[in-house]
Amino acid sequence: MNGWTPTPALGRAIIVAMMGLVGAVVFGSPALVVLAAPFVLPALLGAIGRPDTAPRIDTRLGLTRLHEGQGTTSGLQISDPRGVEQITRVLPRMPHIATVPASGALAVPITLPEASAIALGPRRWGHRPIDEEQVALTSDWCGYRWGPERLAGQHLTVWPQAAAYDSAAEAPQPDGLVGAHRSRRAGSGTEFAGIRPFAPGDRLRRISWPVSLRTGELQVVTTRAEQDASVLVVVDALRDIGISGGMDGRASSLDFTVRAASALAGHHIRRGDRVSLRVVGPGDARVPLGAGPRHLHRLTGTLTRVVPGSAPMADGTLELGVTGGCIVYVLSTMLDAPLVTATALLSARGVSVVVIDTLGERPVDELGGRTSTKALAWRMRMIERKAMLVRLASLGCPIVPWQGPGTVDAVMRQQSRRAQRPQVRTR
Amino acid sequence: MTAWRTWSRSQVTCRSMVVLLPVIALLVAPVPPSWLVLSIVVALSVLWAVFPELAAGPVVLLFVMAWWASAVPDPVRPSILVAAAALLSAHVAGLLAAYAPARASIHPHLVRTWAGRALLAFVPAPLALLALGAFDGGPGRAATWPLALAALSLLTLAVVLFLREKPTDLSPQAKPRSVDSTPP
Repeated sequence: MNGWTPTPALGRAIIVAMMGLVGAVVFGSPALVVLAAPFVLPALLGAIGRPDTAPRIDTRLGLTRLHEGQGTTSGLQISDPRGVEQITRVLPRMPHIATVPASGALAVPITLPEASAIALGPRRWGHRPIDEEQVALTSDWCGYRWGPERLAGQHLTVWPQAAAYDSAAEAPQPDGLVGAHRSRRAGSGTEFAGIRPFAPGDRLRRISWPVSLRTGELQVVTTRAEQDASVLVVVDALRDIGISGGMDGRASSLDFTVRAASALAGHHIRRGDRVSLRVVGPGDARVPLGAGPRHLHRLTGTLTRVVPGSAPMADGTLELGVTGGCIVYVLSTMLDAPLVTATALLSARGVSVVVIDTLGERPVDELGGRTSTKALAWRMRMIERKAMLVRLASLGCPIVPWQGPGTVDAVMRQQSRRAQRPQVRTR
Repeated sequence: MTAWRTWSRSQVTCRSMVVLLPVIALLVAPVPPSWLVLSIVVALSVLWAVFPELAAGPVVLLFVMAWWASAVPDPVRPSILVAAAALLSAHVAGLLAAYAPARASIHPHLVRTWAGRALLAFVPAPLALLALGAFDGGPGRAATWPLALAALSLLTLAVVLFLREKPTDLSPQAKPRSVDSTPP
């Protein structure tokens, strides 16, 4: 609705003042004069304060891309605000977006423009729509109102929480060129590998003079090369178990998965590794191997677009597209047989696979109590899953629950030691 | 029926005032109101409090004023000022409640502004009471006519202004002046 229209408050003041005074004249009642007198001034001042402007209202988000837990503001721009005394903004309630004020609605004087901004804090990753907002302007003495005008909705892209994650474990099979991981082959790193006789082509600074003097011939120190690793992060988006309470509440299985994938990808990119991503679920998104901040941005953006599947996955062979020497992190609830089979096959091929269990603890209250049918079905499913995980572990595939920093340290060290040993692999 | 739980504290206060003040305006009269009158006022006030933009507002105010005019015998006593203040405060409370949805808090600056305005708007009431007494040597009917006519003339002027359509400037040449609350 456009144009300045009288407010119900102005109408009330005019009706009460006029009817009171008319009644006083008609019935000769002095009481009505006294009772109607306080309404004369609001009626007069409200009526004469009609603005002659046509303000244009627009909202602008301070940031449109941010991490979970970060905040931005939705500011209001009003062109030609002459005659406007009051601004009223009403945002609809939106899931996983906290607002300040908490109600998402405010009415503030135009003389306090900073108070008319609504702070928005997304509490969950993903694409979060900011629904249509209604804005109304009120003139002096609440006489006239412009609007409420419906303003077009906007979108926030919410990246997963930038969780502090670090791991001291080195990659078991680094296969790149230059990186931070100790390689099995000799090269120009800093880690001591051994001492051998001097050969043509060796650098002079590599000569170990004490050993050379003792043995009577030139000896050189050899070091291990330092290489980068290639990492594949497999995200299971086939289903989302549990109810997401955002950052402040309980995490659903997909919350765990996406946040853990983001943290792992960020960690490996910072260490100079090449990271690829495979989303198993709707869209089947794939990001090829890459390194650097731009690639991390791409990975995080892909994770932001993850949506849970609704239909069960068809039985069949799932090809994850793993290249040799790659570290594979499978972030999954391990409830779907094709993904479990694919993981087992990779492990049998000698690929370094780490399963990160993102199911988490699920209280039976969510399922209607311990004796409910749902809870019984869930317990049966958990028994099946446990048996499947035991078989997977027996193949040498480590399974760890996501616990933030250091989650994979122990298993990666174990994998590194295992990688040093000769193995028989299934092709 | 649990929507009221989402109401902000300031809105609950405002809407409680909308319910209570018209009742107080009745109870301060020298003549006690009947249960029927009281029930009607309470019912209308509750309706007004829940829907502050509804026509129940002027109806309840006019009902209380009509009861005062018909049930309270002359001469006008100073207690009528309490009733006038209560009715004006109910109007202001309803106005503040209608600024934003019930879940929104009412800005303290807004409350201060309207408290000042209510005080200013109330000034004509004691003046009218004094004038009624001064014209007649005591509160009486004789001064009612000139006072009411003068106020009516003023109100007529306001209504003329109210009904007059002002052309809205929609020309693109209108120089925009923006109020920007977006932080840099």
